[in-house]
Amino acid sequence: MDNLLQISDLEDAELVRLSLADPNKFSLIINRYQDKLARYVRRLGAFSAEDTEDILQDIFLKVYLNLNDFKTDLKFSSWIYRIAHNQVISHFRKHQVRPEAHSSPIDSPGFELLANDISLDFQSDVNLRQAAIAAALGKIDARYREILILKFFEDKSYQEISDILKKPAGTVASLLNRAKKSLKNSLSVKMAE
Amino acid sequence: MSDNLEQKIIEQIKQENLEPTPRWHFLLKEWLVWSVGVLSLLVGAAAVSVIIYLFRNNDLFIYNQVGRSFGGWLLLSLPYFWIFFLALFVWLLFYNIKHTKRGYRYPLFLIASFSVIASIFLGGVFSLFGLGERIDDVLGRQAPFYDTIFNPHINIWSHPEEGRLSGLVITNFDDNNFVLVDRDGEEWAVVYSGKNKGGNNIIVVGQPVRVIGRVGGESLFVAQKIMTMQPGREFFRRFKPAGVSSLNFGPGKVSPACPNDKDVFLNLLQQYPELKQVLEQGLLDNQDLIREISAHNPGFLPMMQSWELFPATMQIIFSR
Repeated sequence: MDNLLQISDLEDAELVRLSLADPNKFSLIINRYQDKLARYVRRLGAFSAEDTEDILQDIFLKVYLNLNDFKTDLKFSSWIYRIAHNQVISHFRKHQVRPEAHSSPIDSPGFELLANDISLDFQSDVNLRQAAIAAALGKIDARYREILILKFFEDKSYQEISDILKKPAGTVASLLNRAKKSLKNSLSVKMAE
Repeated sequence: MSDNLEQKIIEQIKQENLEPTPRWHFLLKEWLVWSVGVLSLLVGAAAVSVIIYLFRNNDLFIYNQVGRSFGGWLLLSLPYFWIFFLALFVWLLFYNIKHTKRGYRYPLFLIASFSVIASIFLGGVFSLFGLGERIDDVLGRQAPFYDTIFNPHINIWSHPEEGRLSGLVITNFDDNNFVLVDRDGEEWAVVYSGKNKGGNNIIVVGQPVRVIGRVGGESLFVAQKIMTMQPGREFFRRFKPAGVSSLNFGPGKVSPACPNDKDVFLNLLQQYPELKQVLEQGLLDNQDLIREISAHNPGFLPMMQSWELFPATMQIIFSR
């Protein structure tokens, strides 16, 4: 029990150091990020459980091979999310498909945060509203969708999004603004139907 | 998702003997990006220093004397190669800064502005130390296509039919009249009677000059304005006659091949009677040219008389 507590207290950078010394310790990093990254991968594209696992496996192998490239001036979570993001994009390219839908548990707090942020003015059942947002998210440009997912579903700050997407913070802010407008337009069209 | 993902990954790492890529690999990559960036900055700045050197000696405001509009003259004399070269290396600098580890954090316009400003600023500093001049001299001496690619001014100043002539002074009869050899190896007698010279000690044997004027006859150019030729000066030295090439020319220096000092010249004529015969025959063969020179330069005939040179021949030439 003490040992488990100690491991959960360890910082990411310390886990990297341990993994470099002993490959078995890399399982600590996998444990810590497996669920978070699985959710993120599924949110970026509606993958099957099998595909998600394959992508995750590729992500963690890439993380392991590039452990020496990690520097502590960047948050480890931003670094690993960047690898995950690039791996998903590369998966889309490899299979020549476009990310079209997004898979997120319907009760995800991200929907409420997003609905409040874009001041949705239509009243309806919470579930219906979230389903409408999920459908609209699937229709907007992939660049807009990924930034909304990082901000509202993964709860990342502007600086973290900047580090994950490798874009200046100012560009992130304006992209986020445009993404929200695009989502709102898409929702208005859906409501009018 | 299966619960044993963690186990599968660790097993794969062990089975395939996978190891993290060594740190030096990433450091080398980063070092290469920075090195190419710094190199691009230095090369871009060198291009700026050449552009500054070319512009400083461009004489933009003589456009009306060469019958052009300001815009037309500017477009004609822009150093396109160096501008393209600068743009290429500014882009390389921009690209490399953007691809450093934290380059993505800066807005593109900031990186682009920095690349341009840093290249221009450093180019200005290089220019203060004469780097542009040195680069132009080296290229002028050795680079192929120098006159068409590196220095368009050579082309611009090689159109005697349009009133622009340039070349190396190989003989100066006096302060105003001289013979130059152009980039095609053709010799031109240049006659000049005005005072429109851009500075002192311009007509010096072994130095290139630019001349504005008109073609006055076969191999004769009547000058209206004579100027020094800074960029491209080494290019013209490629056309030095064999006896001239190894000598150090300059004000006060005398060339045995092209003597401009009375005593040295007269001694040479005494020493080599056949030279005297050749020169005398040359004068007779070019009577029209001699008369043209004399007409534009009243000091020419008195000089020949005071030196007591070929009195009989001069009598024949000027009796017509």
